[in-house]
Amino acid sequence: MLIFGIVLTCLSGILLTAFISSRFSWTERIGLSFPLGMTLQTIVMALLDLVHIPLTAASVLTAGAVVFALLLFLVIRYRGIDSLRFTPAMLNDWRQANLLWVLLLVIIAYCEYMNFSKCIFFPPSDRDSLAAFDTLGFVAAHDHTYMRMSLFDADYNPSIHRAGGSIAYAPFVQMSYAYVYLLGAETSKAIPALMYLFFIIAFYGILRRNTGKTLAALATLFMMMAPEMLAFSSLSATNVMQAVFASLGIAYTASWLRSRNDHELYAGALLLGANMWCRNEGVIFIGAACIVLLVDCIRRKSYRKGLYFTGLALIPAVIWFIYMKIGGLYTEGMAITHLFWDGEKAGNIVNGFWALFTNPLYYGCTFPVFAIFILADIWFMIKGKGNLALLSMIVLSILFYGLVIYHVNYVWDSIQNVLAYSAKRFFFCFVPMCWYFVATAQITRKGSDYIEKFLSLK
Amino acid sequence: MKAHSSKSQNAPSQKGKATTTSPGGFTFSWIIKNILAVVIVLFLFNKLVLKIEPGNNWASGYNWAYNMLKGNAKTIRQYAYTTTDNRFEMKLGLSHVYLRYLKENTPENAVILLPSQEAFFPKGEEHIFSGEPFNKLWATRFLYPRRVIIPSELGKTPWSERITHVAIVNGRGYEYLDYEVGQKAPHTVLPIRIKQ
Repeated sequence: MLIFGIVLTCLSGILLTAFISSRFSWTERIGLSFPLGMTLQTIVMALLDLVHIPLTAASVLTAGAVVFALLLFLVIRYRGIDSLRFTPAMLNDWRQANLLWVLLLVIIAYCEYMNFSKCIFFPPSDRDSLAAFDTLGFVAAHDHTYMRMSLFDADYNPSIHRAGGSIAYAPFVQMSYAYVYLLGAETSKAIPALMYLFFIIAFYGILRRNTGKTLAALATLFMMMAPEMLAFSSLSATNVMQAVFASLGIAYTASWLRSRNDHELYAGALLLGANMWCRNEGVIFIGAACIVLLVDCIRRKSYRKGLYFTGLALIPAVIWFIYMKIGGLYTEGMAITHLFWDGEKAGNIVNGFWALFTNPLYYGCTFPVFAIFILADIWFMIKGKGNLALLSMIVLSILFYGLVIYHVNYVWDSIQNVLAYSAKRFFFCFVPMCWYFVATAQITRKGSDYIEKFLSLK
Repeated sequence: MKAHSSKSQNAPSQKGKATTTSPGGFTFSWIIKNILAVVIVLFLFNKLVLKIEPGNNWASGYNWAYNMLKGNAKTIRQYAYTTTDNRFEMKLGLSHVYLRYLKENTPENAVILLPSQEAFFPKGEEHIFSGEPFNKLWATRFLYPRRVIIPSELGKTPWSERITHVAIVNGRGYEYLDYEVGQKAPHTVLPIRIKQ
């Protein structure tokens, strides 16, 4: 039943991308199928829970099947059955293969095989999973509800509404864990394992759309091997999963700003919406993307696409807001809502961020390479050919992250601890974004063209 | 730039363009160039990931990550035929063993008083537990559907009036019982009151 549920989820994801457009490559469709399919499935579970339908294996699978049928109808009606035809674009790459590309794919597959096995083999054991995400999913599956589960009853668990309490965590991870537990899984680790696997495929897919195959594979390898992110990808925590949604969302949005292929804009919006469905602070990435799109809209004097993007990206947040209101899922406030200046706190944040950016043990060479390619691409950015929009979204997101940390009242922990132990996980979102920037910088694309001409079969 | 983009795209819509290049066969120069590229990359991979120079901080992260994966792969092969329960035990040690013991020795509708952090990790004594078995949610993952009450909730919630069992850890917890116990075991679970 578990395998059936996961296949159904992936098929729904494939149909969702097919509904957005028939122009996605199959690499992208497969890569996006699980993240988007699981987002859809968890939203459906939240809606079932809202209308008091118990979350059982039968109810979630039936609802998933209904969504699948609906999407299939929409795809056939509006895109045509031909949009689902397998187009072997990947085979074209094989016909023009080079050994370096093959070697990089083999290394990626080998490393991901080891990482996937590690994730599936070891049950959840990290503190945040057992004291929140995994336990909430496990109990929700057995109580057959998320909103009304026993752990959210203040009579039974009086500390649940305290500042920082897990009751107000965005629901994607907990609900997806509940999904696999409902379908008979012994642990929730299938979710993080599959998320990272499909992410690697999707990241390669979006890179391949924008650069040569060899460089796409190389950037994917560097991205997936970022040490701390790789280590966390096999835990049940939320950060890597948010990084999947946020980075792909920003990458698709940036890709749209270059190509103006609308399906990239809609994919970007859906992925950024899913990023907020995964972690509340994901709003900063939506904010950064919206600011860049607003500038673009003003320059082009056309606001329609920007409004579509914002609306789509905020749908999951609106559903979550309604769900929280109805279910009384709130915590005591921990945000400082007025403007203030605290030089020491700001200094701590800047120093903490700098220490993270320059820490090679956490992110490998990601940020130094990113810095080098910003310098290398400056000329093209000035000429309007570089990826200034992507760079702006990354920089704005980092600034917003700093602002969020600045405006939190640290009543449960010190800001030094948050910066030293928690903030390193916040930065996972930037690792794929930086590698995407590096791989799609103008100078890299020129180099990539040369590599393909030099090495590939003609 | 647009022309460049469309050239490198992998989308189905670009299929027509991509297939216009008729594939040729393997040529001698292709083989030489590719072998050279592979050798260079393998050399760098060996230098930067497998056998790094001491003090090479930029590469040490990748070396650590790769060795972590290799080490785990070896462990997985070694313990391939273990159950999920065994694997929880491998990761959580005695904390899991103890919580499993509580689960096996209490009914499903039990309300268990779990001792505080100090009881699990007493100052000045050897710590045999790992993780956070004193944490309500952490313990619930292994004790569900049994309810878990922690000492800070006593007298504050209706559920603290419904406690049926007390978990004894490191000899702590006997003070919550309604009766005296002769031989005090360091780790056990006991009903809060003796049935009449």
